[in-house]
Amino acid sequence: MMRIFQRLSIVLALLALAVTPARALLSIDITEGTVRAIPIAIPHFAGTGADAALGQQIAEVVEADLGSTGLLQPVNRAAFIAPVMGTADVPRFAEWRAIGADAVVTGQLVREGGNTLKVEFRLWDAVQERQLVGRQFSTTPQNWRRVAHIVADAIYESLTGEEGYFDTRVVFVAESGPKNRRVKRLAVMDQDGANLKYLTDGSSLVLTPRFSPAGQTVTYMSYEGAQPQVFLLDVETGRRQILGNFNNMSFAPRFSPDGRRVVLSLQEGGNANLFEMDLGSKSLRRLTQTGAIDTAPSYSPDGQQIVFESDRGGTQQLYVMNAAGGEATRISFGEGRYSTPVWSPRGDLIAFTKQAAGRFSIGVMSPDGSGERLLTTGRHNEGPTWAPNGRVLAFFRETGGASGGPQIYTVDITGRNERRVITTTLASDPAWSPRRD
Amino acid sequence: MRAALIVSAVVHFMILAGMLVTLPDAEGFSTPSVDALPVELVTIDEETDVTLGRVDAEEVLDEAAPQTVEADAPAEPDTTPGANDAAAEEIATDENARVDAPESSAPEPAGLPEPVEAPAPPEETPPATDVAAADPLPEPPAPEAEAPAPVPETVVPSRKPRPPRRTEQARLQRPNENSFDANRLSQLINRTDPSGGGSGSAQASLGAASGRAAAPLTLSEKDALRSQMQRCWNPPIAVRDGTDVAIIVEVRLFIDGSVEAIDSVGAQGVGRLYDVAADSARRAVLQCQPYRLPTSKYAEWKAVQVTFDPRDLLR
Repeated sequence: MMRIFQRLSIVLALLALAVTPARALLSIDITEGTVRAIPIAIPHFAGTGADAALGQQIAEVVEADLGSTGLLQPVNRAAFIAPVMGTADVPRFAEWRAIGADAVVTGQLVREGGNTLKVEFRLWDAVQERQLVGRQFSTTPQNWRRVAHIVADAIYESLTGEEGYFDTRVVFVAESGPKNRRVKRLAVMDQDGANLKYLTDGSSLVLTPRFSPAGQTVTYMSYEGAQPQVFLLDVETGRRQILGNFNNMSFAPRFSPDGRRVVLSLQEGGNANLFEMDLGSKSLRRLTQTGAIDTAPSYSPDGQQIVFESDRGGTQQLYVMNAAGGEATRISFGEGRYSTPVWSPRGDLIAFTKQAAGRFSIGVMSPDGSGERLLTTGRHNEGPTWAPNGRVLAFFRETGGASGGPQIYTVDITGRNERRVITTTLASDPAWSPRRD
Repeated sequence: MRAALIVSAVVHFMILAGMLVTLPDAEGFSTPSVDALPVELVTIDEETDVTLGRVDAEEVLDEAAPQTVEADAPAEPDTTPGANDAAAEEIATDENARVDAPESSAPEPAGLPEPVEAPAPPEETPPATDVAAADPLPEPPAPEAEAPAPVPETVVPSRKPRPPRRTEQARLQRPNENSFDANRLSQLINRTDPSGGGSGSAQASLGAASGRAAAPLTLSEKDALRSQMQRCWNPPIAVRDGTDVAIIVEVRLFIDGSVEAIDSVGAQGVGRLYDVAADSARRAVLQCQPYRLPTSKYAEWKAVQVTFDPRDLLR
């Protein structure tokens, strides 16, 4: 008994020591910062022979990706001391700091056999004078753009803490021809506008393409046949199938987060209601039954809830309901009409199009409807879609005039850094892919 | 007996456990973040900047150093405000100068505490070497030292080093010192009573100088340090919107304000977000060095614990 008591005392004494501060140290709390773009230097990647040019191109794509975020600021190449740097070279940090670079990227291309290219890169912190990331990839030389995007993702992640979104694609409706006879074709491109590929021939009107969570399949609405219907299309193989044989028009499809279901609107007389189709069993389940138009459904990332637009209250507003259907709660209460809600992949925000006083805005609000913020407002902005990290939105903007047309823009969720995505055609209705594995 | 022991043990355990649970939650003496006000807080120890005494200390000097004799001719070395003992110590080496100014050794018998560190004779030398290097006229100092021959004894030894800073021009003007010169008004005004040991404003007292407690940094000095770090901290986007990550580092500084080392002390959060936040914190500390802090309080800021807390940041 006595021994137990002694041991107890010792343990308590040790515990007491452990929680007692050792000494009074001058302590400072930093609760504010100075937000600015991180200056980063990206010399051309080293390579021999034909690969030297490839090394330049890769570095330039990395630089364009990082610069497009507004969070990183590529340092002007003209100031570089070493315009080309391989991964074997440890940068002379003081020299890079002298031209204002907080971070330096070095990289090199090594040919392994005939058609295999090894791309190595290192990200250095010029202030702490140490390496932050170092990776290598083996690929075919034709795949260099994708490697560049993957490198940019890794750099972005270790400097901002956010998930990268450069190795992604955007499916959209490519438009061409005069305004009254527009040809609309389904197309897919890299997020930076490169590698454009048409998915349909333009013989029939297409609308609202959406990626599956796996990034391989696209669901969209097409006006071919007797009436508009929803289709599934494999982006790589081009294989296409109709979602279901419905008696009425089906539209506004979107995949569930697990990719096993598609939620869509079905026309019922003058109204439209929401339905969910199981892709495995092809069974259809009703989610809403109202005398109104319920459309543009979008799942929460956990698949438990659905946000959609409905005019059941008189004007188009946003509602949230359980994914199994049932009672819906209105979340939008501002002036004007709300449409095309999209739940963020992070779950924290819902993006929407808002029409008020003759102007169209892209905005975000919390899933409970609070904290509404408009990110951009103009003559015509529409159709937001989330980048997979939930930090950036793409949407399309219609420009007026005879030669005007829709163009795709991106903006980050603070409303800053609005940029046009350069496309070779007019483009509307973008849908961002998930990140590729 | 046994039962009482058990009860006692249990009750003690409960009390101690209760204290362990509740007391550690008490906030440390962290400085709340406040906007700097144009108010300087003056602590009492700055006003009474005395060295702590030791009872057994040898009595060194209880009264002021030799008083200035009322003399019409102002002592030449006394006329250059701004010089200090330290400078004199560094340069008082020249043998010739020692010969040139033997008179100035007079004060030594006064029994000042300083003489050991800064012997009076060499103090006269700097003028000779300095000027000799700069001009082709090395002589001037000597005549000057001789001219006021009767005066030197009246001079406080610790002020002697000042002559070195005198310019040639000033020396040439010297013969006219009887006439009133408005330019020298400040020198008359600035003349202070001789004091005993120590330098600066420290008062003479018994005891070792090292016994004095260091004055803590004032609120505005802390605020200056904080704002200097805040200026360099670029919180990564991922932690800007209330993410539950906080980085605590201990920064060790050299006396020139540059960073010696940054040690991680503690943190909240894990994984990539933590790594990115920690990197940004270290970059901030490194980028804003050197830190401008009073060297007299180096002991206070030799090590600083810095908490980078983005939880209250607004985008």
